[in-house]
Parts: sequence; structure tokens; C-alpha cells
Amino acid sequence: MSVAAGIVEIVEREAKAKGAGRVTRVTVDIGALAGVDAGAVEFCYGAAAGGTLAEGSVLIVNRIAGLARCGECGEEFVPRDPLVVCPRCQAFGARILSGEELAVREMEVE
Amino acid sequence: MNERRVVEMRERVLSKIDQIAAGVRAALAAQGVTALNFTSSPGSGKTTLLVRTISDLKGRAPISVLEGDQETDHDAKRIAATGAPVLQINTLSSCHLDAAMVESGLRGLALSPGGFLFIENVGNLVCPASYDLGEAMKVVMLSVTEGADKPAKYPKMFRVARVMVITKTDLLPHVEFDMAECVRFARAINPQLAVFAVSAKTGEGLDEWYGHLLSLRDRA
Ligand SMILES: Nc1nc2c(ncn2[C@@H]2O[C@H](COP(=O)(O)OP(=O)(O)OP(=O)(O)O)[C@@H](O)[C@H]2O)c(=O)[nH]1
Ligand SMILES: [Mg+2]
Ligand SMILES: [Zn+2]
Ligand SMILES: [Zn+2]
Repeated sequence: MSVAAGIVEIVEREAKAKGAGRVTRVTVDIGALAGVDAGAVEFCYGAAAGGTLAEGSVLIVNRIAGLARCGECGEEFVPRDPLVVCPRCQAFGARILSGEELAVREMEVE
Repeated sequence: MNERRVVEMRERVLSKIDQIAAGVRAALAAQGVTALNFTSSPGSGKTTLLVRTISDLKGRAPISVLEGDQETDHDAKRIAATGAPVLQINTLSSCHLDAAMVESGLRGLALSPGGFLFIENVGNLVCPASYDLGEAMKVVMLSVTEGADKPAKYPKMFRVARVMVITKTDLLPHVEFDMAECVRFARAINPQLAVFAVSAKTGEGLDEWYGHLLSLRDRA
């Protein structure tokens, strides 16, 4: 199942639980290191939402940049998955500060 | 017209590979199998410890093994010599196992209810930390020849693991390895980490390791 379908599944379950008639807008966080193509999610969302409470809803993708901090020298940098190597001191194992997000943040229902 | 309202959610979307991992986890739980994902740098002694563990626990715990290596079936042959069911996965261009490989591997591997599935990951302390294989927990290993600061250098793996096994303790007289310092580094990253120090050669520390293993199964 694709990520778009995963988003619709969460949204529809939550909309039903809240007794909503339909979903008008959905906001998702997609980090650059989540291994997910945000453009593809936007492209597939309309089709995935078809026939569900989220049909016709607007998808807003909140793109979050990757950021890591080197544990050795403290350098902050934009990491390239999967090998997080510090560009300054070449140490491995920097801490990922952001960019791994893949979550439904909120939705608007009526 | 109905009133519009905003619902806050903050729910993680599972990627396809995480969904497969969740499926593997559910299938293993349904079969009463406790799965452990063993990670370390290349050559820390994963296969040697698994072989010895399988032999020593014969009659007490049935163990099946998925062997991950980039190439060759050398390690699967070593496991097979114990009589345990084993399947080799060659990851080829990939430097880690993922849940899809485990899912398809499990179709060709016999599991025993009340037993263990040992998954030996590719020798690599970096990206295996980011891949959920559907295991109950990750066990990270390092040998006394690798330096006591390994946990500080590869913090993510030591953060996501629940158990650390320090191996090849029979070599301690020949290397400079500060055990207390190693444990201090590891617990700074992961205060809950369970730690064992063993030699698969002399048998030192193995009883504690086996006791912990069996307790994991009995808790499951
Ligand atoms: N002295 C000593 N040598 C050990 C011990 N355990 C493993 N070795 C040796 O360490 C080397 C590597 O052991 P393996 O068990 O193949 O290590 P591994 O982690 O499975 O290696 P990869 O699968 O290639 O990552 C072999 O030569 C083993 O004989 C031990 O407890 N003591
Ligand atoms: Mg091996
Ligand atoms: Zn650095
Ligand atoms: Zn990898």
C-alpha cells in the first residue's frame, strides 16, 4: 500500500471516529529523510481519496528539511541517507535532528 | 451546511516497509516466536555466538535462523551444521536487511512455537539501526578488539538496541579495552541497555546471556 493510501486510511478512520460527514483538508509532514517522494504522494492523493470520506479534500504537504548534528565535532549539516557522515570531520553516527517525519498533522472536517 | 472544524492528529504514517515489518511482527507473535535482530560491525563474532547458543540451548529452546550477508552462504552453512533450520539471504547491492527480505525469507524457513528466530543482520552498525525487521528487539554486539568507544561512534544503533553483548572477552589480556568505559558510553546513550560480556571460545559469561534470552521468551 502506498503512502498516499496510508494517509487516507488514517484520515478516514479518524473522521469516522469523530462523526465527521466529510474531510475538506489534510495536512501532512514529510521529512526529506523519510524515504518518501513528497511529489508522488501529492500526485497519488486524489486517486487514493476517491470513494472515501476524504474524496475531494485538499492535501497540504509540509516539507521538512533534513538536519543532523555531528556527535564528534558539533557540526550541523544536511545529511544524505543512509550513511550519515559528518562533512567536517568524517565521523559517522551524527544525530538526526529533523527530516525523518512522516505523519498526518491535522485535518479539517465538516 | 455543516460547521468546519480542525482535528489535530500527529499520527505517524507507516511507510510500506514499516507496514511489512508490522505484518512480520504480528505473524511471529501469532506463532509464539521471539525474534531477535543481531547487529554488529563485520566480524564481531555474531555467527560464532549464534552457533554456540544454538548448540548449548538444544532441548531448551528451538532456534531458527535467517542469515543476512551481502554475498556467500558461508554463515548459513555454519549454522546448518548445528542442525537448526536456516535460510541465507544475500542482500547484494544493499548493506542491510529490510522487512521485505525477512518476510520472503520466512516463507522458506521452519519456525517452532515457543522458540526463537535469530536474524543475523549484515555486519554494519549504521543503516541496520534504521530498519525495523519485525523483531522483538535488536541485540548489538561488539568485540573487545574494536575499541571501547564504539557506542559513541555509532550512537543510533546503541540507542535502538535493547541488549549489548561484548564478545571475545578471552582476548582481553591481549588488547587494551576498558569494559567499564565501554558500558559508560553505551548507557550514556541508552540508560536501559542490558549488557553481557561473553567469550564464545571459553564460554565465559554465556550462562548469564542464556538466562536473559530465555527470560525474553518467557516474558513474550
Ligand atoms: N578469540 C575469539 N575469537 C572469536 C570469538 N568469537 C568469534 N571469534 C572469531 O572472530 C572471527 C569472526 O567471527 P564471526 O562469528 O564470523 O563474526 P560475524 O560477526 O558473524 O562476521 P560477519 O558475519 O562477517 O559480520 C572468526 O575468526 C571467529 O573465530 C571469541 O569469543 N573469541
Ligand atoms: Mg556472520
Ligand atoms: Zn564532525
Ligand atoms: Zn544499508
